[in-house]
Amino acid sequence: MADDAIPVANAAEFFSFDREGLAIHTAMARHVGRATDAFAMRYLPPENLQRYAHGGSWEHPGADDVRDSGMRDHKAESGAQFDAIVDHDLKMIADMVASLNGQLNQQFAQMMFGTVEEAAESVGNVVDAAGQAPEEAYYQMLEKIEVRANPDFSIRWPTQIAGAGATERLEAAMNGASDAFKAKLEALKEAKAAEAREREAARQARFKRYGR
Amino acid sequence: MRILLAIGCNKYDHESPLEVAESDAERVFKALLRPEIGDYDAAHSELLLSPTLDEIRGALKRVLFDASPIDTFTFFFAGHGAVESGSFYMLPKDSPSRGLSMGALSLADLFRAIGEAAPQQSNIFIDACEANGLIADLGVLLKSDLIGDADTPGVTLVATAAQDQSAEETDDGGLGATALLDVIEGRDVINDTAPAFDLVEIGRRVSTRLRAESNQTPVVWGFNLHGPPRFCRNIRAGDDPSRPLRDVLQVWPDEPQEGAQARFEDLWRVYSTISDDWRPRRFARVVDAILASLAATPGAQAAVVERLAAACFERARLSPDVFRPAQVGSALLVCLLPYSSIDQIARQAEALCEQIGDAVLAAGAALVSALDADRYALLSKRHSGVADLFLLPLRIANVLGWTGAATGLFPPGDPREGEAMALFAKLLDRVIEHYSTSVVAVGDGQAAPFAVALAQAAHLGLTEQADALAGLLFVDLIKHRAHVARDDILPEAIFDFLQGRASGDYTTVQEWVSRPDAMTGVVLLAGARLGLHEVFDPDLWRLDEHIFTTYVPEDYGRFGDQLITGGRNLNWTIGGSFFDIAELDGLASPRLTSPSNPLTMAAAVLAALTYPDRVPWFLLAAPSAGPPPSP
Repeated sequence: MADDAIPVANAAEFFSFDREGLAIHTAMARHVGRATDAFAMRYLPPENLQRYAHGGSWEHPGADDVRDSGMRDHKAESGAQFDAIVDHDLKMIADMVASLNGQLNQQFAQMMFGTVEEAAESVGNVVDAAGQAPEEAYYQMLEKIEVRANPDFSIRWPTQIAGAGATERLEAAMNGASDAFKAKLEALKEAKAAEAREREAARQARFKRYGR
Repeated sequence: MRILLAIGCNKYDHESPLEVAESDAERVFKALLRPEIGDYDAAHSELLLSPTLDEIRGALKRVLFDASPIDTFTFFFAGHGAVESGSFYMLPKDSPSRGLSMGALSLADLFRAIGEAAPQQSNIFIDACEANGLIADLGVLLKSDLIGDADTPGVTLVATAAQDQSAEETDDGGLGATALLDVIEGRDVINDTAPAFDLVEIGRRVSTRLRAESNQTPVVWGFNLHGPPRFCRNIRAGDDPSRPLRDVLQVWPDEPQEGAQARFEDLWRVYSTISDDWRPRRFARVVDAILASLAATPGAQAAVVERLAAACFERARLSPDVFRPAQVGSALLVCLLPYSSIDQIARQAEALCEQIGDAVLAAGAALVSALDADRYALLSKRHSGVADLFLLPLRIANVLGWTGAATGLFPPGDPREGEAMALFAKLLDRVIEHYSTSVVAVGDGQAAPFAVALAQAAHLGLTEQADALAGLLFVDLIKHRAHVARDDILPEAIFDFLQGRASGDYTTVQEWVSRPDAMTGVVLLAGARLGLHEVFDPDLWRLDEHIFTTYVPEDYGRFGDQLITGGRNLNWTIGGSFFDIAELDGLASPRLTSPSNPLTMAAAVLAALTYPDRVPWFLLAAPSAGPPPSP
């Protein structure tokens, strides 16, 4: 701000429209929030998004396998040129929304993958793909994870997210793999599914009654 | 200096004459000039009998501007009043039949004069027909150039006749003036402990009496936050009856109350909305700021809250919602929570608890009568229909929660405790009799009130009713797979949420579904308290994988904060954390820590009823739960 500029707090106002201005910015924040939620839901189903009113730690008594990664702040800023406002440049809306969403989406992605990475590393559940065939790395990864069965005993296979080009490389490798490898992989998947169903049956048995 | 201007007008050029207005003014004038009662300055105070408008204006000029700086100014008027174009006028002898703005004393004019003279405290007592027009005038008076001026720290107004009502007269004088004199002369006792009274305290007493004894609905508003109560002395207090009021006032702690004064305009603004547009957080923000500015002087904090309570309870009585006084009192009490470890504050908080308890008793009794006369009395008066599919269940939770809380607001052994228990039992019966199909879990806004109601029903041994309540809620949770609305759902989103509830498809209202919710925790823990294992456990699988949360604060002194920092968000997954309600109870109860004393406990319960995004989980913990396990 130039030295001779009038401080905002003391500046005269001319038809302030305070309430309307606040409402418009609130609406824009909600719009950005919805877009960010939509981005998050590419990775998480909406029923897995949780909302808490107060601070403090998260605890999961009776569920020792749940990991608490703590609270992270996400924030984004965007500005508008006074001239663009005066020019009534409606493109400003799209630019600001894109800027805010870009920042928030990037932070969300970093947080999510960072959390998964931390959790995996904390228990040594990491596979190094370097120096081995992609299909072998995939097999090792599957060996290390524990899949879960739904209450109807269908299997919840984990969602796979890979970087640019990695998916194509893995697909090509899998297609070109030997029959023996494919059979070995299927056997592993069946074994994993069977273990999952066994665990789910044991879990359901802990209820006083399950199903009709 | 203490100045009194008393006006009584029997004779009118264009209105019907009155019989006792002059004698009322004389009686009040004489009483308030007595050193042991009002101690007003005899040399500068004035009594006007059937004056003209010019005589009133002249007297106002003399008493307000010709004397030394005024500490307390009291204005009494008995005579005809009238409302014209939204303004209230006091009619002098020569008032015209038309054109009151030119020929009568408007309340706005009186306030302008007071604002300019700026006494520390101004008291206005009007005993006139159509005095209820003063309510309409409040909007005008709230303009900053009238009473919001920081140089006018306190204005209190009592008006003892309502619009379309004539100020009633008896052989002894007007009912309003007689009720006022009975209090200030000690025939009607408010208490025998306070050395002096504000007009608000007296006004509340007069108001209660006139409501009971006549068809009057008096108006009391305003407050004095600056210095001691200074309208008149409490003649029934135990000290020397001949001691002048000015001596009594000198013993008032000379504590700085600039904090209250600086926020006077904000306070007036929220005060004026208590009876219609009640928003507890907005109210609390102003009170919190005042109390924070007085943190170094607990005596001043306690005094400010006492005054605010007197004024705000009375203002809340103007609301058609009979629970409003209890809600306002609770918001005020919760503001005291952070300071409740200080003895002076704790005493004030305990007194406030009793007043809130009284307010709940009055509201609950009114509700029982209404339900006995009309089983649909709990439905919305203006927007029933679809809206009540959501609001009625919420209302049911609230009436049970608030009346359930009342028993904990009185000292042990107080007869009102038994009254509160009986009232709660009656209401529980009425709800189950008339509204069992609306005992459903629609939103997390019900979690705190149902936690209170279920815990209280269990505590009082109302087993059958408590089982019915918990059972109905459990069945509804299962029916809707525990889809309850967030406590802060926008009113505009409720219709869509109800459609989701009807169809089972919540796709369009995902953001308003509470995840994790609190209602499920309330119902399951209540089931454990009530021993409903055989009822709940066989069907618990139907909520498999549902997650709910129980937030427990680190310090209950901050349980009224908008955002509570610290504490523990305890998350529970059905079929993950536990598989039957005994297992949940065993894991949860030791973690649901309780406030350290009964006062904090009562205030925490009221905080949860006032701000529905928190739940007093300790009410649902097993009594024998041991020390909390480490996180």
